[in-house]
Amino acid sequence: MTHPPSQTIEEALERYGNVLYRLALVMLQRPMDAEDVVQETFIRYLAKLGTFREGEHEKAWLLTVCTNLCRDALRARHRYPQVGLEQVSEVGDVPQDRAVWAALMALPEKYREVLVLHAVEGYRTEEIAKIIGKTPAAVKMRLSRGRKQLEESLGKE
Amino acid sequence: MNNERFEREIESIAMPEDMKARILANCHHNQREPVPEKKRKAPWKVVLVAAVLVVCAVPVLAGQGNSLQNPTILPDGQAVQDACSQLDSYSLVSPNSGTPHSLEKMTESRRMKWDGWASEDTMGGTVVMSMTDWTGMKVLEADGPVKAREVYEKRGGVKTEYAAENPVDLQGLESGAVAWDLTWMNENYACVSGADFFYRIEDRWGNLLGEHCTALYATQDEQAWFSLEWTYDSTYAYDGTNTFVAESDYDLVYEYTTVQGHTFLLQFYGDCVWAECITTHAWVSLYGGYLEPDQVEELLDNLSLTGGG
Repeated sequence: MTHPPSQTIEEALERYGNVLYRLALVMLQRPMDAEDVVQETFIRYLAKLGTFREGEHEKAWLLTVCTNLCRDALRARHRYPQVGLEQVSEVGDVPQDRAVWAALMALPEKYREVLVLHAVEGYRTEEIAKIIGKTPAAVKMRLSRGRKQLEESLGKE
Repeated sequence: MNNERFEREIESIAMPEDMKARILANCHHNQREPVPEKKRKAPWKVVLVAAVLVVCAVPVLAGQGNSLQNPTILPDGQAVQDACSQLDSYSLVSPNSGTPHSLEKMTESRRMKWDGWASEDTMGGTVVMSMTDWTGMKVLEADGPVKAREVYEKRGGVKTEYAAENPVDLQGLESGAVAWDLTWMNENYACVSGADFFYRIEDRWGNLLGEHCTALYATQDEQAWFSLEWTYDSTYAYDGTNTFVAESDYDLVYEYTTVQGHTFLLQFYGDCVWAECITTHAWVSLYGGYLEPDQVEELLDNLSLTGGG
C-alpha cells in the first residue's frame, strides 16, 4: 500500500524517526552515535523535502542515506575508536529482552543491517539489496547466516 | 520463536522524545542557516590549495603541526573515569582478546587479496574517509614478484595498489611521508610471501591523499609472528588528546622510544602485543603473537622508520 510523501520535517521525523533510529542503533550500538547519524540523515533530507513522488520512495531514500552514514561512522570508529560516556556502564535505554539484544549485538554489522531491514521493516531481499547497495544474492546469504547465528546464540540460553 | 522474539525486541526500540526534539531543533536551525551560493572553484585554485595541504602535511612522524598523538596511559578504569568526567566523549583503547590469530589465519586472510588480484571482490579498503566508493579497476601487473593495479573511485580518485612476495620490493613506492627499511627484518625473520601490500590514494587531480603499507613476518620456526603497518592520511588531522589506555586492562603497558626517536605505546595482553606510534597524520603499528617485550623493542628499533622527505 502506498502513501504520499511527507510534507514537513516534523511529519517525516514522526513517520521515520523510529525506523531510522532502530537501524542506526542496531548498526552502531551506541545511542549517541545513532542520534548523530539520524540527525545528519534528516538534515540531508531537508534538501530533498518535497521532491519524492511517494512515501515508499522517500523511506527507501532515508534508509539508504542512514545506512551509508552508519558505515562511514563505523569506518571512522574502526580507525579512531570513540567510546561515549554512556557506554561505560551499559547501552542506555534499549534492551527489554537482553538475551536477544546481546545475541544481535554479537553479530557482525553486515548481518545486523539486513536482519533489521528484513525482519522489522519487512523489506524483501531485492529491496534491501537496493538500499544497501549489494546484490540480492549477497543479501540472501547474509540473512541466512545472520538468522543462523542468531538462532545458535539464542539456542545456547 | 526466536524470530518473533527478535522482531519484538527490535520493534520495541523507539527514539526517545528528547532526542526527537533535539533533532528537530537542529533541523530547523539548519534550515535557517543561509545557504551560500555554490561557486565552482577555478581548477588551478583547487590544485594550489591541495598542493599547499600536501606540503603542510609533510613531514609526518614528527614535525611542525604533526605531533605525537599516542593514547595517554592511566592506571585503571577509575582514573579514566576521573580524567574524563568533564568530557563529552573519549576513547578507551582495550584488548579484544589475549589469544592471537594463528599465523595460518593471518596468512590466509592476507593472501585472499594476492590470490584474487584480478577480482573486484578484493579491491575494497581505504585509509581516506572521503574515498570509499570503489567502482572498478584495471590490473597493471598480474604476475611476477610485484603485482600492481589501479582502482577507481566514484569521485574520480585513484588507488594504486601493489602486492609483493617480498615486502622489501614495496620500498621506494611510497611518497616519503612515511617510510621504513625492512632490510634488517628480512635478514632476521621470514617474510610471508604474498601477504605484503602497499597502496596510495590520489584525488582526481593527482594529489596525494593517503598511503598504506603492510608486511607480515614470522620467526623461522613460525612460533611467533608479527604484522607491521603504516598509514598516512593527509586529509584528516587526528587528535588523540582524549584517548586513554588503562594499565589494568593489560598485562603490561608502557611507552618505548626507538633509537630513531619515535615513541611507541606497547600493550601486552595474553600472548598478544600491540605497538603503535600515532601522529596527527600517520599511524605506525605492530600487532603480533607470542613475542616478548625485548623482541618487540628490537623490532621497532630496526624498522628504521622515517618521516618527511
